[in-house]
This record gives sequence, structure tokens and C-alpha cells, in this order.
Amino acid sequence: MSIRVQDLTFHYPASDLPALDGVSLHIAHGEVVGLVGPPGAGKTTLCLALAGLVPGVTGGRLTGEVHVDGEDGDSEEAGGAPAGIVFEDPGGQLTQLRVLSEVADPLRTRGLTPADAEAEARRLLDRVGLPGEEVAQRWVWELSEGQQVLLALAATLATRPEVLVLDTVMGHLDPTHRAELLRVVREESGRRTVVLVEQDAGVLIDLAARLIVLVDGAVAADGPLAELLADDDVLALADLDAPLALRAARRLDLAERPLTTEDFIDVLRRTRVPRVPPSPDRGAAPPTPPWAGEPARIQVQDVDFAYPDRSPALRGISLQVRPGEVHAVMGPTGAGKSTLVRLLAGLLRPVAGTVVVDDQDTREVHPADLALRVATLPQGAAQTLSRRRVRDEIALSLRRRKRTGELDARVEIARKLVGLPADLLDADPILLPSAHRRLVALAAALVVEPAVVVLDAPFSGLGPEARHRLVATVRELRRRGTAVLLTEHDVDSVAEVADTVTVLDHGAVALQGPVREVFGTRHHEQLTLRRLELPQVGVLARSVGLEAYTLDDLVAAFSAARADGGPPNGSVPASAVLGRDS
Amino acid sequence: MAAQVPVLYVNRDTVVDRRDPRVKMLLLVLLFVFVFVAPNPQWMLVPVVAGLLTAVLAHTPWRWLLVLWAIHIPTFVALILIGGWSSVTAGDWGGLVDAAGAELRLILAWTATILVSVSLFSAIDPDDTARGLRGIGLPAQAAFAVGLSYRLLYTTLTEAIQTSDHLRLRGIRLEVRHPVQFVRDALQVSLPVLFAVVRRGPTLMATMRMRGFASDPQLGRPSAADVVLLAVAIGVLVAAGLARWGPLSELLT
Repeated sequence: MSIRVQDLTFHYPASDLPALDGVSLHIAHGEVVGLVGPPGAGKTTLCLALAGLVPGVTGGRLTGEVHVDGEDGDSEEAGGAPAGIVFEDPGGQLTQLRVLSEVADPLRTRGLTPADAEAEARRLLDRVGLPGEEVAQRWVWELSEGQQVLLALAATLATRPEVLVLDTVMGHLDPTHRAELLRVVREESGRRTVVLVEQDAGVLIDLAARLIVLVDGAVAADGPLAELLADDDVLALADLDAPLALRAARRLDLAERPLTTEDFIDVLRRTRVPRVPPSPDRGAAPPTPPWAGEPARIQVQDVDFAYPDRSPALRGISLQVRPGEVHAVMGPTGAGKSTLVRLLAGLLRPVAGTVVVDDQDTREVHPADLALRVATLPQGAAQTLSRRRVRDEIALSLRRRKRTGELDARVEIARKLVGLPADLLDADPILLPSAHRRLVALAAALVVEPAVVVLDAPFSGLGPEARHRLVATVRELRRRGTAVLLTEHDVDSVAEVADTVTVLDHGAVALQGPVREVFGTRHHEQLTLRRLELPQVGVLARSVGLEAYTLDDLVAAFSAARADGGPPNGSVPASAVLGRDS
Repeated sequence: MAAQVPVLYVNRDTVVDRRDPRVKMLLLVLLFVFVFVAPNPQWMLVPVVAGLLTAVLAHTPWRWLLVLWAIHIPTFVALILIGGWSSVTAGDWGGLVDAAGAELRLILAWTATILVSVSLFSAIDPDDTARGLRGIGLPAQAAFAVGLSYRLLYTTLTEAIQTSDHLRLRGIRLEVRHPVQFVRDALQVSLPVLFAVVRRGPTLMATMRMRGFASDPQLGRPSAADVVLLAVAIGVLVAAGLARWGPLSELLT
């Protein structure tokens, strides 16, 4: 099946601005295409149009044509759907209440007997990485977001779609679930057309050969992925970060533009690395962090917690976070990260042990009072906005506590802290793009000027621009001496912002310490066992026999290797790293 | 973290669970007709007893039954007070007893409805509900709408629990011991819940459209026990009708 879109223009109801503006494109059968663009570019609307759901589900005005056709004949006759979409909202697309039914129901709809449908559903669940009867019988809301995405994928595959659309789903997945999804998409490519809406250049490189850039509802660029990803203008238009290998090559002043780790190694083999300035700190002991001597603002001591079904969620957890320290809690799905966040916010009480935040035992204070000192941003907080204007939303926490002195000034401070554009203050938060709603929710939490900030999976599903803003916010909080604890499964973000890390596994502490120590070579196997990866820079550095966790680290490691006469492990010839002039 | 949502259905292999979902739906329909047909409180005791029996057989969680029945106690009290108000204002407290007697049929109807529906729904797999409705002849579009509403109900519950937690962190306390404030706070929670459900509605509808919605519920033929049960229920309804309006009204009332 191929897709032909001809001069497609679409307006949502009561909107004069087109969500799609004269889109024309052709996607061949079996092609895997990346669809990118900034928030509000029209990516999801185009996906809905490909599935024939516009304007049937959305309302609005549509002109132009969409054809899903090709050599296999009419898809309805073949028993499959023309297109299947896995949407960004993991839970909002699950139509049944039980996991097995979610996949079996579309199969029964297509004529399979109940027994055959269940057998096929189990096979599909197994294929996407959700095996076992225990998972099959769960309620859909009992799954993690990552598992919900995989379930939606299995249910979509059950409809045998000619075109498979994945709309910004990778951000919800931990490394294991991500690998499962990538594997399935690789298997499906060639068999059916795949449209991948994704802002992660690494994922796009892994799967797609072609990139379509959508801006303000129109196609701004369409061409070979490798070509477009190396074009800074296209990257800026599309709100994409350059691939890591390319960024590393630029930092090292390499003339070539590698897109993958393999390309990067190949370039190093063939060319010499120009001299990079040696690190001024080389050879010196790591500096003592400024917060090292401060009393901890977060003190979790021997905490156990179990949910009403008595399954243990946390076992003997201890950690401390000092003022000006950014502490990341990592771990696979179900490790207990969000439970820890709810304990810190006072929404749950420990079964044993103590949770003391800013000198306050969370058992002795109402969560609403604790929140004046401890700003917590749970997952999904952006879905709870309800005021008419952004400024009222940010001010809500202060108004509720009748702390209305200098309200506008405090709202402005919070707005600036999170990098929210000033012209959005009078906008309706409900109508903002998801990335902006999340910034509003963050500003609304930080407006109380807390001593402690707790963020639950803050980087999950963010595009590059929003991610950069959040990194800047966390760094500013650290500079101000705020104790920050964040949960995250995106190791690159953790490597970029965190000072210390706790890795949880099945509710217990598996690893704990400074970032560099936890991500060090000797812990690599333990991280892999717990479905965590090294940061991308770490992988890149290791491939050339160095150790590094950020791009700055990588440049420093190269300079150190040059000074020492070669990379530690020598996987790339020393001449490559050192250059012919050394 | 996975959401914690209260679910009435308990997956058990009881005699009630094994009944065909179409039969359970039809029994509910018959019950709703019966409560209007039953001529007096004695007849209304029939579905109350049937509801209790179903609850026992289905191992229905008693907490659900008690909570859902207790919620209606203010309604029962109001019914009695309204009925006996003129006697109370005249200082005749015995009038309240008469009013309670007069409203007993209504109170029993309410109780029977709660007992039977909660017991049956505790034994119908929610995923079979829409299928059962299609099986009793509801048009596919209507069954689709019911299925969508049913799913949205659970979406709403999930959203309400998460939203109330989030808003507690923003100063909305939701403390039951301050009822007036609680109601005001609950209204604050309801708005974002409504927005979330409205936002999710189109996604859910788009997904259901793509997945398809079969007109054939594939439920097969009901068992002999299902047919007998249905026949008994229809017989009781007919008897109640005859007792109220038919030639047997003298004999059966």
C-alpha cells in the first residue's frame, strides 16, 4: 500500500488558521518515513487524515485528497484497516478494560472466534514484549505508560493496518520497552508502510530513510534523512537536535558529518582529530561540590512502603539530597520511582522508616502545607490545568493559601525561571501545546519558591526545545541552592543535569553515588541488568576506548588521550585520536 | 506508577459469573420493569430477596453493596419526612410511621435495584457489557456509544483520583470533615477532570473507529440454565402484572 496526499488543507472547527495547509506527498509501500516538526506543526492532524479520521472524528473543514492504495488491492477486502495509529497519550487510546481484551477485541471484530482471537492476542502481546497470563489479565490502567504504549501497538497490529503510524510514543518508554518497540517496527518495515512521528534524531536514524518536516501545517522539507539531519536550517525548523555523533564531530572540529556511532568511528579511522585544548583540571582531584557540607534537605531513611494489595513497592530505601544538589532516581518500570515521589510529597505515608523533607516529617503535615516548601511535579500534572489564563494557573497555589502579596512579581519570577514566553501569560492554558502546558505546570509548582523540588519523569516525551529549557531551569534551581530530586529513565538527561544518582530495582536501592561513579565502566553490567543504558555519549566514548558522559567530557577525554599518547583501550588506532601531527 | 481505580467486577467462577451476559442484561431490564409493576411491598420483597441471593452466589463484595445502599439513606429519610411532614408539623409523630409504611414500596424498589444491579455487575466482565448489549439487539451505533461511555467512566475515575492528588499539592485539601469546603474543592477538581475526559474523548473515539466495532457479539447460544432463569424472571414479572391489573389481582395481592 502506498499513500498519496494531494493538496490537503484542513481547518479545525472555529479556527481560521489551517492545521494542514496544502500538504502533498507520496509514501511508497513498505517505506519508513520520519515525520517531524515543532509543537503545533500539524503532525498528529496529518496522521489522523492518513487514517481517514479527519473530519469524521475531529469536525472541521477538509479539502484535498488522501489515497491509501497500491498493488495489494483494497485493504478492507484483505481484512485489514487502511491505517492504524499509536497515539501519544498512552492511556487515552485503550478502548477495553482488560489487557487481553484490548488486543482480542479487534481480532473478534475481524471475524476470529473468541478462542482464536485470544490465542492470537496472546501471541501479539508476547511479540511486543508483554508476555504472560498475569499481564494479560490486568486492567489496562494497572500498566505503566510504557506498557500501555506497547499494548496499544499490539492492538493496532491486530487490525493488520496497511499503514502503521507511531505518534510521539518513544518518550514514554524505558530502554527495554523502547528496544522492544524498535524491534517490532524494524520487523514491520517492508511489510507495511510506517510513519514515525518522532523528535529523537537517534530513533529516526535507526529506523527511517526519509524525513518529512512539517511547519505550520505545510511541508517545509522532504528528502533523504541523512541529508536533512546534517542541515542546521532544517534542524532549527523541525525543532530537532542534531544526532549525537554529528554534535561530537563538530565539537572535535572534524570536517566530516557522521550521523551514527559507526560513522563516527569510521571517520576517526580515516581522518585526524584536530588538536583540542587540554582540560585545565586534568590531573587534579575532583572538586568538592559546594553542597557537600550542607545538612540534607531530603532525608529518606530505611523506608518501606506497600500498597493495599500488600505487594512491596519500596524496601529499605535511604537517600539524602543537599541544598544545591540534583539527585536523579532511576530504574526500570515498576522500580518504585513514582511511589517515592508520592512519599516525598506526603501523598503516601511510609510503612516503616522516615521521610523528612526540609526538616519536616511528611507524616506530620498535610500534603497541601508541605507543598509550600516542597514543590512536586507529578507525572500528568499538565493535564490538571483548569484556570482561564496562564497567569491565574501559576498563581493558584499562592491564592489558595491567601499569599497574594506581590503576586504578579512572583508569577513573573516563576515564568522566567521555566522559560515560558511572556506573551503566553494571558493565554488559555488548556489550548496550549503539550510542551507549553508542562512548562505552565512547572511554573505553577515553583511559584511558592520552595526549598526542595521533586520532579517525576520531567523529561519524558519532551521535544529538544522544551528539554533544553527544562535543563536550564534545573541548573538555575541548583545555582540558587534548591535541593532537586528527579525521577527519570532518560539517562542522557540524567548525565546532563544530575550530580548524584540512585538506581532502584524492585523497590530497593541497587546503586547509589555520584553520576560518574554510577555510570562508570564497572557498573555497566549492573545497569544493563536493570534495563538501563549508558548515556549516548558514554556509548560513543566507549566505542573509541574513552570514558565520558557528556559532550564536554568527551572533548576533555580526547584532549587527555592526546596528552597521554592514546586512548585507554585503543579500539580506534591511536593515530586517529591523536592525529598525524602528534 | 499504575493508577489505582476501584472496580466492581471481581473475576470469579461462580454460577452468576457463568451466566450469559445477554441474560444478565435482560434480567436488569426486567427488574426495571418489575419495580413499576409490583403492586405492593410484599411483591417488592421478591427482587430484594433475589438480589440478596445473587449477591451471595456471586460473592459480591459487601462493602460495595453497603456503600451504595448507604448513599441513598438520606433519600429514604427525605421521602419519609416529605410524606409525613404535615403530621410532624401538627405534632403527630405517629404520622411518620404511616409515611414510612407508605414509602416502603419505593424504598424496597430502590434497595432491590441496588442489590440486583450491583450483584450482576460484579459478575459481568466489563469487556462483555457492550457485547451483551449488542447481543440483546441494541443497534451497533448505540452499543458503540455505551461502550465508549463505559470506558470513559473508568477514564474519569482514573483522572479524578490523579487530579485530586495533584490539586492537593496546590492547596486544594479535599477534607471530608469540612463538608462545605469539600464540595467547593470537589468542584475545583471536577473541572480539570472534565477537560481531561473531553480531551481524551476524540482519541478514544478515533481509536475505536480504527479498531472497528463488530455488530456480531459472537456470544453463541445461551445455555439451558440461562433460558430457565430468564423464563422464571419473565414468569414473576407476568405474575406481578396479573396481580396488579389482571384477573388474579384478588388472589395474588
